[in-house]
Amino acid sequence: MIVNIKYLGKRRNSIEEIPFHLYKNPNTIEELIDETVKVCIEQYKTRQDKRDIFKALSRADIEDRAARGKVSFGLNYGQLVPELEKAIEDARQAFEDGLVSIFVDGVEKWRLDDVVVIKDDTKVTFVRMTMLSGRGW
Amino acid sequence: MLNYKSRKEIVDKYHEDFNINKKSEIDLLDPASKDLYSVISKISEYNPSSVDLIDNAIKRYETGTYKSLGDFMKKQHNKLVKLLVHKEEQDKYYYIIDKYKQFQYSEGTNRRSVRSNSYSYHMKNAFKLIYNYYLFGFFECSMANYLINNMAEDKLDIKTNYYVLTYKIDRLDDMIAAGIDFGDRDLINAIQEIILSENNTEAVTVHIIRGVLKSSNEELHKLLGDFLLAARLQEGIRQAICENADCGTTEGFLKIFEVICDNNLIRYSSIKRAVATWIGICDENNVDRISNKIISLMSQCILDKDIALKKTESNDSIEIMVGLWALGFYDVEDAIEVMKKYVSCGSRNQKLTMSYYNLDLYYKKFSDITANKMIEDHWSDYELIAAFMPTYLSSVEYYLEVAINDKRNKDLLMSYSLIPIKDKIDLLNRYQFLQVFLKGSKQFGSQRRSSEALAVDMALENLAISAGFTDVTRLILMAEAEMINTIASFLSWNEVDGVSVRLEINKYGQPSLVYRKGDKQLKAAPASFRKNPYNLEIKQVVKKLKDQYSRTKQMFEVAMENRTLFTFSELLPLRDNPVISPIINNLVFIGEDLDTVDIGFLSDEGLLDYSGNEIKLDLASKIRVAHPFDLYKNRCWHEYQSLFFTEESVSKQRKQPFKQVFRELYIKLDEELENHKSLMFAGNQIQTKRTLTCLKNRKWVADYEEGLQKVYYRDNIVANIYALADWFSPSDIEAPTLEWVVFSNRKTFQSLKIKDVPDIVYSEIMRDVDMAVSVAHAGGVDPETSHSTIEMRKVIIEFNLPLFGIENVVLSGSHAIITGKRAEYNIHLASGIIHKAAGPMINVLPVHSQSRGKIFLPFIDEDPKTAEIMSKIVLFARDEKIKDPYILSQI
Repeated sequence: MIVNIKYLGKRRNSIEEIPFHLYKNPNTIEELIDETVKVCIEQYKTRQDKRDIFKALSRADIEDRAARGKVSFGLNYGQLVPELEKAIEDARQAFEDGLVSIFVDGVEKWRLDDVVVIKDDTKVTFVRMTMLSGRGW
Repeated sequence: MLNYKSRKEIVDKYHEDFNINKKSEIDLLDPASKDLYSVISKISEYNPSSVDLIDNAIKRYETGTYKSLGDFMKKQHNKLVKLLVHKEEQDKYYYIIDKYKQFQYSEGTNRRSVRSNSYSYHMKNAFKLIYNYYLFGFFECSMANYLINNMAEDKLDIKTNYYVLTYKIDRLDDMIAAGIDFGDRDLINAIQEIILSENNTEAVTVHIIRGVLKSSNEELHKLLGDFLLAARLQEGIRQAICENADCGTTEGFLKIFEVICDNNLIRYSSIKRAVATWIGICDENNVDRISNKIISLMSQCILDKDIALKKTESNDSIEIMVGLWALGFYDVEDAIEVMKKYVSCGSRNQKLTMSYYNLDLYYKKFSDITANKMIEDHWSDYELIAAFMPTYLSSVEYYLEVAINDKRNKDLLMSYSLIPIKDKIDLLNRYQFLQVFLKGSKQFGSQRRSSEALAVDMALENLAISAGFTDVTRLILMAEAEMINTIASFLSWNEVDGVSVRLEINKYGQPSLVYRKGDKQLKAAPASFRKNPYNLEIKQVVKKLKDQYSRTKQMFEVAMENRTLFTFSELLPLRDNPVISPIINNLVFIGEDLDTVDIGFLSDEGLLDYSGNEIKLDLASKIRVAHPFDLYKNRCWHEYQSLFFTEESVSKQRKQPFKQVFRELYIKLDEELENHKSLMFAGNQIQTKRTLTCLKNRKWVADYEEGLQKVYYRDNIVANIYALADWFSPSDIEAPTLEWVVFSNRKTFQSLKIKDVPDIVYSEIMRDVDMAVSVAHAGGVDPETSHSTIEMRKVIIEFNLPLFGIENVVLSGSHAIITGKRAEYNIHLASGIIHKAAGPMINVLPVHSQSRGKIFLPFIDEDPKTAEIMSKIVLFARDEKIKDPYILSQI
């Protein structure tokens, strides 16, 4: 599948289409969430493992990152290693509570058991949302 | 369009006409009613004459033989009721005040769910309600029409602008409840329509919710439960329902409570906060205890009095609190009975816990019963006295001050260094003494640590001046360099009692001991040798050198941040010092002249740049430790980074003592240059304690009034971190949400524009904050923050809007302009602040709930502030679906 992700650069701000490879092809939104979380956790752990390995940035990388206000080396300072099971649970709950909006080829999905067909060129967008509250006084 | 003056005229006329038309009736009132009539519009705790009159009514009620509050009012103040309450409403009035006994008597933010068999506590409200019916009479419409705004235009204007005139019907909920219980079908239909419809412009209000809860209508209770379940992202709906759930009948509360239990709603902060308020443990330390476990405990206790009683016998604070809550929920006298038992034979924890419950019983008459006894019985137990004192002294704030004898006298410390210095050894000894003192202060809290650090800084400064140095850095440099000479003898083999021992310092500046017996190398000191005085001495030296290494390392890191200048001649001799050379030889230095910039590693002649060119320096040349900002600005950062990644550097084994070349760099955002605060980390929630620990190491100080701050004395700049002010919102029970970083002048307190903050100071402050977010994030793991600029957000929102099917939003400048059904709004794309078009701000707060855990999905944007802004746009673009009464009341 292809996911839409922001790209902030010195010369352009855009939404990039990033290929995203799942281990298993999902049939429902629930499975899509589970499989995506698995990949994200893997990637996250890899970044944690590389904590002490510094890689020089190219000049263009430095400029792009400077435009975002932060030039860092993709290191992860967290001490805790995420747990897959809890992460899957959290992501499902977040979707059910509306904290995550999922669009598959431009169509919003509302339920965990919604059926989906994910092909290599299926475009998926995950939008992070938050709860809101008027001030109580 | 009416203005304040014309509105006031209309309202004044209503009052005047009333007084004229009803003059004969007013004149015929009995004396007690007449007195009450004169204060009826201002009954409150702050109006002494109203308090006296209400007290008098309570006395008359308690000494008489009245069946109920309604009975009392009918017999004593019938004329007053007839005068002010419309004929058709009078039955409802008597009905609902009779029902007051079913409601808890305590009100306000510190209220408890406590009901009493006595009507006395409701007397005040019985009179307030009379006045409220009179105010309602102005609108000349039914309650149903009032709620759906079906009334004359000028009256509707007064209704919507009530706050201007303080024409406020506080007890509308009582009137709604009475109407519902009288089977007013129009009213019930109107309420259902307001709550259910997805396409109306009438507003859900707190009064409607409370009215339903005070009614005995099961159908509407169920509707409210469904409403609670359907709230989705509108956290304010959950807040409004749950924080008012305890105001009405026990059946209303139990229905809401059942919905919470059956659907595991405790995951929401609004629910957590409400539960904590109900049982009275609403403070940050206890929030973690609000879980499913406590919910099921509450559920058991509230459904079975015997279980509640049983739990009060426990010694666990939560069980005690829940037990007392469940008893008081039905009748406060039952809770008081238990507390009386505690007073006479309870455990210490039972007594302490009950003090919390007791504190908020709201009516002194109840709380004093036990508090007084407790103070008398335990006058020598300070903790218990302190726990009950606020109640005993009846709201007078009282603090027990404990004098702490501070043996670490800072004044003496500072004068210590003013005593004339005998010689170099004396100087070194004193320098070390100060360093040891500083190390010792690590055991204390951050306040004390920072004041002691400041005292040591001043003492060092005094010492530097007495010894004839121009500043402290010079002193430190000299003292640290000298240190090696004092231990030189340990660096060669010494034989003591048959064992040879030598101190070695490796190429990273780390000392260790090597032992030899004859020609045989030993892995460690022989057991018999361990306690040998010489071994103990040399071990002390190892410790000293380790301390010295970390001190020197830190000194150079601070020098980098402060841009402290060194002369080349000062640094040159340190290149041979085994402890210090691994530090300075692996750092990049920079020398800046008017027109030349030299950057490179120290060499014997000057600086060696990344390509191996040597730049010669005069001995008097001034250089400083380069900051990545210098490398970035001089366009050689990539080159220095590469240097640490090539074969060559591996062979040279360059290892930086602290992060310099690979230090995260923060560059000011163009869009923030003219601002006084940076929103770079806005929206991230952090755990308070972990944040403090993390920032303490970076010289931040937590101050009760100023919050978290860091001072750059050299630049006279103070940086402050601010969290979102979210008191009374569901998020105030969550970890604090970061909002701004502000820089200000240390002397004038004036805030600085971001562009006027030195780049390196800016970068370091932002790095500290980012670090805190990484290690202390509420979600547990590093959230890997990535801030979005306004321009970026515009691109994201443009992309998202069609996905959400939203067409009534236009992006213009730094705002999203929304044309809603109720009004037009604009939302700022950096701060997320919402304004009604050409109108006031609409206060809407995010409830991020990041402590639920990081969501591992490849979001189009992770930035929590973008999430907040996107959510606000979606909510307001479909404003006909807004049901949050706290938002609706602002539109």
